[in-house]
Amino acid sequence: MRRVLWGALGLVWCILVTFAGFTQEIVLQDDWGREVKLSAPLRRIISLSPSNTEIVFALGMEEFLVGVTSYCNYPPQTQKIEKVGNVTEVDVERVVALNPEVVLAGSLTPPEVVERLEKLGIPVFVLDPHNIEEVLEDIDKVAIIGGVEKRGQEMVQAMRAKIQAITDRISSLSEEEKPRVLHVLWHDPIWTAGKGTFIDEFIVKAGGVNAVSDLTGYVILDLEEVFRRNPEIITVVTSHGAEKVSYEFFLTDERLKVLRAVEAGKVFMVDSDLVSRPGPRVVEALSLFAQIVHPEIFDVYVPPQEE
Amino acid sequence: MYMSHRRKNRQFLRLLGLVVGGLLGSIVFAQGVGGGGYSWHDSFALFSPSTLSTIDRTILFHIRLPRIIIAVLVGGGLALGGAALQGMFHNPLVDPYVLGVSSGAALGAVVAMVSGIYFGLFTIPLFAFSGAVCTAFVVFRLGMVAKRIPLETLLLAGVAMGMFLSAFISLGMFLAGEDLHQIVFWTMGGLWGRGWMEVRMVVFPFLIGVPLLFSFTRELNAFLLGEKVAQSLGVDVEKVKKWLLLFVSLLVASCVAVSGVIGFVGLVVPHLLRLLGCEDHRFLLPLSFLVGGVVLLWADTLARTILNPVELPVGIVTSIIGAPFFIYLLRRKKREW
Repeated sequence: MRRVLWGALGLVWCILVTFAGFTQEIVLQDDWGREVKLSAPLRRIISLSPSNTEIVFALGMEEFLVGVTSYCNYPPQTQKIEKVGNVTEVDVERVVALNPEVVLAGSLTPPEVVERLEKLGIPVFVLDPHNIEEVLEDIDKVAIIGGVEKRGQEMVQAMRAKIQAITDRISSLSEEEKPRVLHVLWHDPIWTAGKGTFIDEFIVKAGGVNAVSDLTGYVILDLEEVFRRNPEIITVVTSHGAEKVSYEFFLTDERLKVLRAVEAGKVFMVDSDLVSRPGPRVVEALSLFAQIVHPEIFDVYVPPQEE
Repeated sequence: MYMSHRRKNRQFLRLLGLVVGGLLGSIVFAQGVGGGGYSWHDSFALFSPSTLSTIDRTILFHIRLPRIIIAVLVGGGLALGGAALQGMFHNPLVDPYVLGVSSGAALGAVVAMVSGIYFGLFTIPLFAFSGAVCTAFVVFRLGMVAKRIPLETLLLAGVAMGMFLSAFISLGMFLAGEDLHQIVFWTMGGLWGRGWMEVRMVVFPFLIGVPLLFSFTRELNAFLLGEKVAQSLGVDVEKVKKWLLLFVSLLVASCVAVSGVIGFVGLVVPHLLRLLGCEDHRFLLPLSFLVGGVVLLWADTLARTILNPVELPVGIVTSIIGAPFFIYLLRRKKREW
C-alpha cells in the first residue's frame, strides 16, 4: 500500500516538474531599457507596429497573434487579424478585451499607452531598434518570448550571412568608387534622412555615401543644398508604388534637370514600407540599396510597380 | 495739430522712397544669402549671369530669385489685405485670414493630399486656392443679413467657419496615416522650393487685386469715420464692402495657395505703419504692401539661413518674431492712452 502511495506521489511530482519546465519565468530587457517579467512561451500576443507584426510572422508565430494595427499590411494574412488601432492611437480597451499575455509595442507607441497597459497588468515589451544589429537582437528576443528560440537563431544567422555577403563585396571599394546618395522622403519641402537613421546605414552598408551625412535624423533640406551637393543618386520614397508625387517632382521639375542624378536617370523609387520598417525585411531593403548604389556589382534594381 | 496737406504728401514720398530703397536693397542682399552665409559674388551675379556654371545659375536664378519674388509678393499681399480689412472693419485685431481663407485653403490642400488626387505640381496650390475662395464666398453669404453685411456678423461667421473647417483639417490629419507629414509641413507655412511656376500662378491675381485695392483709398478713409458718416459722405458702403472683400479674398487666397499659412505679417505690418503715423489709406496701403514684402523677405532669408543646410518653415519664424512684437506694440499703445 505504502509503495503504491509513494509511486503515485512520484508520478505527480514528475508531472509537476514537466509542466514547470514548459512555462518558465524569464526577465528580458526591452529597447527602452525596461526589465520585463514574462512567463514564456506566450500564446496570446498583440503587436503595435507593422515591423513587430512582420517579425512575429517571420518567426512562424502568427497563430499567437491576436491583435495588430491598421498599418500592418505585410504579409497579407495580417488583414484577417483584429485591429487594435493605428500606430500612434491605441484602443486600450480593445487591447484589454483581447486578453493578451504580452503586448509588443513599437517606437511610435505613446509612452502613456505603455504605462496604462502595465498598470492594467499586461506586460509590454518595447521593440525600438536603431540599427540593423538591434533589429537582429529584437528578432532573437521575440523568438525567446514565443518559445521558438532555435528558429530565431537560425533566422538571425541567415540574415547576418546575407548582410555579410553584401558588405564583403563592397569592402574593397575605394572612397572615390562610392557614389553619394540622397534619400528623399518628401519633396515639398525636401525631407531627407541623415545620420542615425536606417536609411543612412543602408546607404553606407551598400557601398555609398549619404549625401547628408553631416546632418542627424530626419531633416528638412534647403532645396539649394540639393544642387550644391549634387548627388550621383537620388532615391525617393513611395507608398506601395501608387503614390509617387515626390518621384514625379524629381522627374518633371525643370530646375532639377541639371542635377547629375536626374541627368543620368539615377532617380529611383523605393517602397516606403520596405525601407522604413525595422523588421525582418531590413536585409531586403539593404540589398535593394546595394542594387541601386552598385548595379555593376549586384543585380540591376527593379523599382516597385504601379498598382 | 494737423500737418498741411503738402507737407504730409512730401513726408509720405520720402518714406516711400526709403521703403522702396529698402526693398531693392533687401532683394539684392537676399540674393547673396545662401548656404548659411553671404556672398557678394552671388548678389552681383544678378547683373552678370553669363559667367556662372549651370548648377550655380539654377540655384541663383531658378531657386533663389523666384523665391525672393514670391516672399515679397506674399508678404506684400498679406499686409495689404490686412491693412484693407483692418480699415474696413475699423478693427485693428483683424488679420487677412479673418474670412476663414487660411482654413479653407488648408482644407483644400488636405483634401488633395488625403485623396491622393494628383495632376501635376500645381495640384495642391490649385486645391488650396479653390478652398480659400469657396470659404470666403460662404462666409460672405453667411455674414449677409438682408442684403447688408454687418461687420460683426461677418467676423463671427468667419470665426465659426474657421473652427468648423479646422475640425475637418484635424479629421484629415487623423485619416492621413502615412501622409501626415505632408499636411504638417503645409500648414506650417513655407516658401521652400518655390519657383517661377508659383510666381506665374500668383502674378495674375496680384495684377488685378493690388491696383484695385489701391483704388479704394478714398472709401477706406471715409470708413475711418464710421460707416454712417461714410454713407453720408456719399460712399456706397455696402457695395464697397463687397468689392473689398472680393479683392482681398482673391489676393490672400493666392498667397496662401503658394505659401501655406504664414501668420502675423498681415496683422503686424499695417499696425506698425499706423503707429508711425500713417493713418491715411492713400499712404497706408502702398506702404503696407512694400513693408510687408520686406518683412517676409527677411523672415524667409532668416528661415533658410539660421539652421543651414536645414531649413525652417517661415511661418514659424514670422510667428516667433511677430507675436512678441505685436504684444509690444499693444503695450506701447496702451501706455500712450
